[in-house]
Amino acid sequence: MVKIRRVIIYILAILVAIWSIIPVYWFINMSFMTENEVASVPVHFWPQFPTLANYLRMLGYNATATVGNKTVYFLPSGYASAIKSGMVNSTIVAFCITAVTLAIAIPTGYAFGRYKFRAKNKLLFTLLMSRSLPPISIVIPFFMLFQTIDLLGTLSGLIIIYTSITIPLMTWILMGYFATLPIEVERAARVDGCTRLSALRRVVIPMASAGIGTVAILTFLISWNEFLFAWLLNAGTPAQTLPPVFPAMLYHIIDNTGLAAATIISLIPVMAIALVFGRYITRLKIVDPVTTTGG
Amino acid sequence: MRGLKTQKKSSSPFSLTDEKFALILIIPIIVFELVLVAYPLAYSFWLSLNDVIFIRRTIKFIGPGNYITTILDPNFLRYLFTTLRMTFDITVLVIFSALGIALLLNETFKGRTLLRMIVLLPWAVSEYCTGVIFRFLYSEQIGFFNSLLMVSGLINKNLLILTPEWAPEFVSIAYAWHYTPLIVFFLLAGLQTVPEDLYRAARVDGAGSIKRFTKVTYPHLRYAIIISLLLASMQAAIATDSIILLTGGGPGIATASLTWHIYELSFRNLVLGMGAAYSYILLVIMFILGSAYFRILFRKRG
Repeated sequence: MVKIRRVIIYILAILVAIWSIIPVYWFINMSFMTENEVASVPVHFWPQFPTLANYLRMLGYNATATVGNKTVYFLPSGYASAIKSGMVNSTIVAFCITAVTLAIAIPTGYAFGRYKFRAKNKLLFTLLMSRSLPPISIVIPFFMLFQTIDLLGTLSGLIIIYTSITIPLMTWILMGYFATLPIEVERAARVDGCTRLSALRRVVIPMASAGIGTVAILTFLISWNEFLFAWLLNAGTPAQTLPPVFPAMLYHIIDNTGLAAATIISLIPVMAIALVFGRYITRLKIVDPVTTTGG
Repeated sequence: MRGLKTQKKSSSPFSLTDEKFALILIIPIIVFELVLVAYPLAYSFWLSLNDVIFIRRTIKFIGPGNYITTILDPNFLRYLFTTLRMTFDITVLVIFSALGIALLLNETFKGRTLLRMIVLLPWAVSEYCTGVIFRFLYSEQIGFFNSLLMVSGLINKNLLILTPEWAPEFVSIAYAWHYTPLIVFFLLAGLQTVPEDLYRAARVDGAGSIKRFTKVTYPHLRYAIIISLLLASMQAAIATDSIILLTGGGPGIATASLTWHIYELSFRNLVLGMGAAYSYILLVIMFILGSAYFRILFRKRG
């Protein structure tokens, strides 16, 4: 009985692992093939002549691939410059947005997690609602607005609109985190003559550094992964980030292996972050931090 | 929640009460809400009452005209139904698979830590990348599923997977693949609060695993499940990126949800007033879901 149970658990574990990995594996598989091999029916489950050519040409280099005993030459992809500048822009936006979000979410999260004040529940509700606003509804007024004040197609415009996603969510998470910290240390600091602000700066923030770090990583991931605003506001401008490259490739040219390689390139940073910091991220109660707050 | 009680009056000239200090700390968020949420929403409502011709940059006030056009649109109910159908599909898929995976991860077995890392991966893949990837998994010519079925000898001619009848379900599967991990870890946190003694007692009393789940696990997990249900449905109702990149609302208008239609109206047909009117209808739906979520979140704590 116990043995059968073991076996069932391992079978289920393997199925879950396969289901989680297969989609990404399929793209990795495609990215190491040449276009001819992708076109074979049925498509191979691993590349017959694995090649790095797709990665090289998507990053703007000449490339060769050895197929059997023939050598095939590839020119750099027309999308290489968009991919490279997109990665630079995505990185700039992600770092800026992380800084801005933390600057606002830390004090606010602390106030919500620690203190009682008038209209607190109403404010929390507003925060929750602004977290669940459909991005597609938000983008219309911003599109018109940015058009008028010349922020359309700029990195600053994108940073401004991204805060509308990240700040409510991160405040919400930090609120739950601050509420779990022991209040006694803060009290001791206050007795020792710290003002509230310096107690926050010297005691609370260092104590919460793990939570704040995780929130920073999460903000970075959200910013890197955001598609709709980046596409509708910045596509085709010098301030284009990485995501808008994909619909362009999907609709305008047929380059399946190149698309696969570009997708994997865009996934490498976030996959690495998820693998390294996954434990911390899953520990944060992203869904419902309120359960951890008292009273 | 108790506020900070200070034993000693602060020597600082800014000697404040807890409430005043908290109110100062939240000034940025209030400014943020006014500038980045309230103002755009108000502006969007104003747009929904206007005929916005983007190319000529003209705005003409037409009152509730856009809303009337919206409701008279013969396809309006279809968009609404597609949204509800996909929301339902995604929520069901996410809750059941997340519950199953969470129960599995709650067991002790070799390689559990590894499985936890693997399970998180789809969440790191953004929604738009999920759309791109599943477009190729479902592809008729070079798709993974077609190749798999062919290699296993079940078919000898490639199948069209994204048919008008079932495309919404396949889009839902893709979205659920990406969204499930978040709920898995939330439910897992809930599962770890179930006292081990209760399981032991139930086992001693001869309860089978199904009975143990319904009598011991479920009552502890009910609250977490309800929260997950609401959250998953709120997210599913506003799914946009995956639809844009996976099907583009097609085939025909089979996967054209409200969000897709708002995108189509505003950024393809460039009738932003109509788009804004549709947005407001979606916002009302979201507001209802959000209120329910908020009530349940705070009811537990009284």
